[in-house]
Amino acid sequence: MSIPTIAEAARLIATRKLSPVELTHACLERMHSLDDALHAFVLPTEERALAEARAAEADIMRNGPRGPMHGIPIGLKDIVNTEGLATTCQSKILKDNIPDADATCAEKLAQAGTILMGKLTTHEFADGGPSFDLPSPPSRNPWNTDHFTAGSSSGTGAAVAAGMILCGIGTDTGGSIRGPAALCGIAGIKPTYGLVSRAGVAPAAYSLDHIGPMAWTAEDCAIMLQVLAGHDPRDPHSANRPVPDYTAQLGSGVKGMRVGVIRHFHETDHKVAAATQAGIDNTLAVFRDLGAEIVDVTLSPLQDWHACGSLISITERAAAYNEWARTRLPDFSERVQRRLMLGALVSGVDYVHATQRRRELRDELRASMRTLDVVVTAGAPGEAPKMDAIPRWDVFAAPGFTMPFNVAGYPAICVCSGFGPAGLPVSVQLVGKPFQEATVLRMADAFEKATAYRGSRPAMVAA
Amino acid sequence: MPPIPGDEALDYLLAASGLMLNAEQKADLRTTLEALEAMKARVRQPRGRMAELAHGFGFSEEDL
Repeated sequence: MSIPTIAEAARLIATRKLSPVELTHACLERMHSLDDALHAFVLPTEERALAEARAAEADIMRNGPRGPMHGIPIGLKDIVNTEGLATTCQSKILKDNIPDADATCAEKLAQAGTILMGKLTTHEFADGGPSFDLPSPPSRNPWNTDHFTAGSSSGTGAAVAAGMILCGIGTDTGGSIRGPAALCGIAGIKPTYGLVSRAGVAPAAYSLDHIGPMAWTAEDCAIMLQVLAGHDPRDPHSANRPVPDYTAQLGSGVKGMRVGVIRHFHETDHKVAAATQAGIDNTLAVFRDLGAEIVDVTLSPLQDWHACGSLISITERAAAYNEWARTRLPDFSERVQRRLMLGALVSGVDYVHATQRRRELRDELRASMRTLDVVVTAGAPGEAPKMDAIPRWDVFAAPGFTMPFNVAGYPAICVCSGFGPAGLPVSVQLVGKPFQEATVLRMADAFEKATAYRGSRPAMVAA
Repeated sequence: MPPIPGDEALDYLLAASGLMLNAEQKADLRTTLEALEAMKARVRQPRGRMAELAHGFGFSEEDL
């Protein structure tokens, strides 16, 4: 069976042309044949998946589907609590942790009738980088297994790209949804801060943490976000506002939309690879051809956004894991130990300065976007690097393109915008105003449907 | 940019944080000090004591 999108599978399931059991078996077959090389799953739940698929099939035959996610195979990043099912955060510290309740996002997906295929590989506590001193190995990129997936939602990126699941949960503190989406050639949206509940998900940095969908297409992200969005009193920063229909605007075109380009981010502040630049230029050309207006936008240098977000992230992580850092530091991976060590060097005054700068930067973005619908920049600097090329102190490497929108809390999606000379995907990032996910998804969907990049899966999947 | 902390200052900061590092880890951490100070310099700007933080706390109906 070829790998359907969620939208395609939902149509087939609704018309009884595809059974959730058949779809789950197809995903399991890919898991069996590919995951020894990809390590996308830290805990597969095959028996549970088949039982849920049979129950979904019976329910659909009796009552019809509850919605487009009914019978869809999914995965959850292993920092998402699952009742009665190990949630280790890929850490020795939590190797025996069995939560007694589902995270809100897991609960909502279960209520929508999804099929849980398993818990997915993450960087330890969604931090650090690819580590080989953890209970299980890091995930590898399906386009070339010598290469990195990015992280920390590494398993979700690999599993979606390889068709082992149709979508999965990612979390994003500085780019952990959008980075793996970019390097694995899929779509991943970090929603507005507060739109999707963080309750029951291990924190990385409280004020920068976001939960969101990762799937093959922007349309599938819209379908999944519909299930995830909404107020949750268990999350103190959960937004209490109506949830719009995220698929309603899809297909309505981009004519008249105003698109800003933060050119200096990817052309000067951190110059991207030629293939990435070509992908961004092509994205803008597609939008222009479809009737959008393109204008340049200038913000503070990318390095300022990176410094602001990194200092906040270092401090909030150090606070979240302070007890274990003081008592069990050697039990963390070397990469996470290094991150936690940095927390000792950032003072309270430094943290306050960073949050003051955060307000200034957010005000700047708000003013720049006043007359715009979205802004565009790179999602990643180029194709995925090799696994052994990730710097020891990656926080001090070149500034990332995703952190600015964690600092601002604005919604941002990465989608595939082509392929580089090594045959790996490159990406573009579209950013919207707060709670305007529908616009971001509409633009990303228009780009995907105007280009052919969604027609290519990694060779290992096609083989 | 303020001076990079010396060995004694680094030891004090680590002791205050409660982290127990070995000599190799301290040496590794020392390699980051310049980059970390540069990061701090980017957020430390003249803005006066009235500048507000990004954190916002609003009261909802439930609080009243």
